[in-house]
Amino acid sequence: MDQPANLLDAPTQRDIDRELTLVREAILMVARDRTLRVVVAGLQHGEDLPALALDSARGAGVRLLALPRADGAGADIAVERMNPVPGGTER
Amino acid sequence: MIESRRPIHGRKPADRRVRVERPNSAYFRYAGPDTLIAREAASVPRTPVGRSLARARAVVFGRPISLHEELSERLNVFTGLAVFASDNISSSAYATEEIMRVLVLAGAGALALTMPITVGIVIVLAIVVTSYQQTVAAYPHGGGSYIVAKDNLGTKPGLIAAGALLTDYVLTVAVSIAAGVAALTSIVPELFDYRVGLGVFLVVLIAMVNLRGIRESGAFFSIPTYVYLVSIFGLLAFGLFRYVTGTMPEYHAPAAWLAAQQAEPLGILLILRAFSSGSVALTGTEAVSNGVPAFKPPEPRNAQRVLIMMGLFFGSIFLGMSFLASQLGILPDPTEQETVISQLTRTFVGAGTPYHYLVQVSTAVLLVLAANTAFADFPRLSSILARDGFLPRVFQFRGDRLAFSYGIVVLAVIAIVLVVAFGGSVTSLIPLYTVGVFVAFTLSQSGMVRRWRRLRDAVSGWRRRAWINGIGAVTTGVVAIEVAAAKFALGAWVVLILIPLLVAMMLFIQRQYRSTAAQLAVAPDSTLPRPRREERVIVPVPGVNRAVVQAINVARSIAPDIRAVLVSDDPEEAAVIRKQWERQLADIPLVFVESPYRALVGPLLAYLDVLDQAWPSDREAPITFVAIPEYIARSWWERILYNQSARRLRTALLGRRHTVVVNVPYRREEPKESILSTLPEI
Repeated sequence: MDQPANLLDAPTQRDIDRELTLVREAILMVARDRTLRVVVAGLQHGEDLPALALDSARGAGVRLLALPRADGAGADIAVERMNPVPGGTER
Repeated sequence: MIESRRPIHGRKPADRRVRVERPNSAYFRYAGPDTLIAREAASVPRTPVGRSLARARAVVFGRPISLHEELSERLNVFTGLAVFASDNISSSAYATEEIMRVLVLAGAGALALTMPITVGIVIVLAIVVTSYQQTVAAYPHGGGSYIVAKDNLGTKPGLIAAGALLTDYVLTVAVSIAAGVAALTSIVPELFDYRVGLGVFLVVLIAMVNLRGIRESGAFFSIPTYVYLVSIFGLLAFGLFRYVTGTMPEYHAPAAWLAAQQAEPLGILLILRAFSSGSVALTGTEAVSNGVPAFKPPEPRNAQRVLIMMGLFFGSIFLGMSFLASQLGILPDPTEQETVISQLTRTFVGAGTPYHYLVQVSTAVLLVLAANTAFADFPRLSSILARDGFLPRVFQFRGDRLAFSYGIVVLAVIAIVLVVAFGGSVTSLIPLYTVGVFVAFTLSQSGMVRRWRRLRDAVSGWRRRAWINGIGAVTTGVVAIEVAAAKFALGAWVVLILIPLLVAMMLFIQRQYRSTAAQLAVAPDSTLPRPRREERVIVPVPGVNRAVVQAINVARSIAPDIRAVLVSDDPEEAAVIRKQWERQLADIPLVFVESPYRALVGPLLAYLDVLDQAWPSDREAPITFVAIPEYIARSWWERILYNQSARRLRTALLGRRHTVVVNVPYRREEPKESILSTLPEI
């Protein structure tokens, strides 16, 4: 039986939640001036995450950049305060 | 696998047997089901440097001794007298002199009181020895003042006794060594300028002998003790013969010595000071009762014999020396260059004669070795205090040779400080001495009185026993007050302040241990559930290499929530690593933290802080494992090249809340054997 498009299976949802946590931690790291920039790589759902973490990023005064992976299989997320990363796409 | 049993089937039914295979028998003895006892080979270092160090240590300190050999390390009466009584007996070499040094302040005529004061001190000694006979019998496992006072009077009196004894043992070493050096400078005056250095050297020598273990130190000390006894008794017999036959030689003190004496009135205070200076002779009596377990069975009986022999030998020598010195009218050397015993010997047998040298050298050696009594008892007492939680537990540690290594080293260090600080002068050290030992005697004997009262229904003749110890307690108590008062201004105040400080320190240590133990305690009747906390693993990585892969694999075995953290100041290099990471370790997220100030540990700790802050407050904090990849160096020089960052990181994480540091060592393997042979070489 096909699943509805907007309904993910539990393991996938868990993976997304875990990766979202990683991004939120990176946002906190930058927002609290612990570093200028954090890149979270090796994500399975990198392309979906910026939209999900957008509110957190805005609230913290940082921006998220999707960095295309070398294998074209997704994206890594860069979290930074000011200057855009060369080659990155601002969301 | 401890052992395996393999059935072997023979041709005939009777041939069937079981082969027991014990693969590690070179390192372990199989003592029963699931029980192994490590052999000496199991403790042999594995590296060439470690083996060389162990060989060097064996040359200096001897081969390691097993606990099972301990009984053979115990002392008989002969060696026990040398080890535990050498301190007390050797006091006879300077006790007379210390009395005379005080009396002579009132002029040479006051020296006539030397003999009466000596008799008084010998009476006190007889009371103490008699009293301690009962302590030895009542406490076969060691009846030091600390144990007796703590058992019968309570913890604080016990600690006061312990503090007094620890202070006294340190002073025993310093005084004995200084007196031994003085005996040497009496016959070799050129050494006088080097007395401090010589004293330090001798303390180190005694400490090393003690680190070798007790039996060998017993044998080491027996010969000088008995040479001293024979030579001194020979001298006393000769002196008494000359006295009886009316052929006493003439003694002439240098005129400068007479001029150096300052006239003080001969009052009761001066006499009391002389008495307290001579009371130094009683130090060491405690050692026998404290060291009962070191004797061969029957331990108490052997210890009692040693105690009586010690009292008889010491009392005879002390009385003989004081008598002959008084009869000759000997004056103590105000420069401390020549001792009274040296003057006595050269007056009877001639200066520079072989017998003069024999007496002086044997006295010097015995005095130096008398410090061994303290080296036997200070470590033993500190180990008991450590066992009871009043001193750091490290004092309980017994080295390869069954000696309490830390106690020996600490005693040696403090004694060296004293020898240096007091310029190796016996007379300067004496005022600090004796107070502690009489405080300990008093508490111990008072404790014994209380013990007999407590056991009055179980012990026959308890009244007589209590009276004996009671007389001991009152006598030593009076002497303790007298010594403290007479020597207070001269230095006894230092000890009177030090003892309460030591007691406070020991109580503080005990409180620390107790509070830690309470926090660590597990209720014995509770069932311990599996941990409920969530777990996550952080792997700090410098890039992708075999050590990192191994650490990631270990992390995988700990928890599914893993993240690698790369801290770098070079974004371009980080981008290259990121790409390699995604290609080779695609299922593990990599967090790159930019560190423009080139720091590694700080940003990583900041990241861990952020993880803690980001954790939902309604959930219990997770356990964070930090798996640190570590390349194991193959030689000592490689160790300098690698793992400096790992070491810094480990230190920084030490004690961090909810954090477990996991070291993941990687040893370089042959490429064939490596399961990661496809990865590039590091």
